[in-house]
Amino acid sequence: MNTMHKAPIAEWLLTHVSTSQRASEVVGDLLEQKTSLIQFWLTIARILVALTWRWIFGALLAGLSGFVVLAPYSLLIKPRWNLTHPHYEPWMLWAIYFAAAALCFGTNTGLAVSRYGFRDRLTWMSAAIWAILIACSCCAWMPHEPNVVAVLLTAGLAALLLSSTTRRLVLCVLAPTAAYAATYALFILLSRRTSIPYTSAGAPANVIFGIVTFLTSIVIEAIVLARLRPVLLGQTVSG
Amino acid sequence: MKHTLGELEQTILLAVLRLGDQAYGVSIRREIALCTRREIAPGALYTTLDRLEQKAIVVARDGDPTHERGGRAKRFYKLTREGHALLVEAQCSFRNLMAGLDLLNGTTR
Repeated sequence: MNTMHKAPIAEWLLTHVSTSQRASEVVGDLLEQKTSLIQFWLTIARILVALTWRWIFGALLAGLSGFVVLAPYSLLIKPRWNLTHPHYEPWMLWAIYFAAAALCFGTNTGLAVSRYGFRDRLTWMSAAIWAILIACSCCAWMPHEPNVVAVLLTAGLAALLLSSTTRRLVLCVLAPTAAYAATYALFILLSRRTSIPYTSAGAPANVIFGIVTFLTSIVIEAIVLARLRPVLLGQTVSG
Repeated sequence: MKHTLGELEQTILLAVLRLGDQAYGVSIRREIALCTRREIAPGALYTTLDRLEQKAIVVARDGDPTHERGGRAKRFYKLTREGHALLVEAQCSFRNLMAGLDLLNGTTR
């Protein structure tokens, strides 16, 4: 099979990490230079890496963002649980809910930082919600805190969504995060249906299943973010 | 926030300027290789062009499809007014830094 026949496959691959115009341009340029088959595919591979490394780095950052959530959670919340007389109080459940939400927004922040940079408003918005949720999780033991925070967060989000200047920005943060959370939830549901031990409660956690869950969720979140961002906020990338 | 051009961005923009109406991927790489004796990676070229286009520093237009490109069109680039201004500014900064230095003759003041 010569280079000309491989071109549609290369173009199809590039379309997934760039625009169709860019993919066509790259493949056309390579065909014009009459490179050998090996050189053609090596160049395509290099271009694919160059176009996706920010997302790959973003997935790593997203994974690390979990530690930022879990560190204060373990230091400030866990010690307040009475382990000698284990019982659940409503605030403990709220602390878990807030921490879970913070984990979801943390991944979005990681992807936004790597793809659009620290100065981007999407990164700022995502990081702000992430930080607020971490703080809420750590303070969930305070009297009436969960109820007050739930009301304030709902009101704040509603105000941001109603404002024409911030609506698109908030949607651009919420939609990818929701996609991540939904995919994650689907996998957890799948683990229950198939009896795959996802958490270490009762049986050793299935590490491979956990990695597949995280990677699939992060890829779906990245795709939603990449597709939604140009539509909602226009085409701008970091330098 | 105002964009500051990096070294590779300046090199590509200068090549685009030199090539005039014939600035597209292959010719830009060739021109840079000829002038600087440096082969830039295709990935670096296209990601930089992507960024420059999205920041409205260059604009692109599609040419006619050709047989040697498997029926694909060339994508020609041209500096925008803003891109031109940024490049002039970057070159002025460079000239200011070079003032008083006689690097090409191998001596400094």
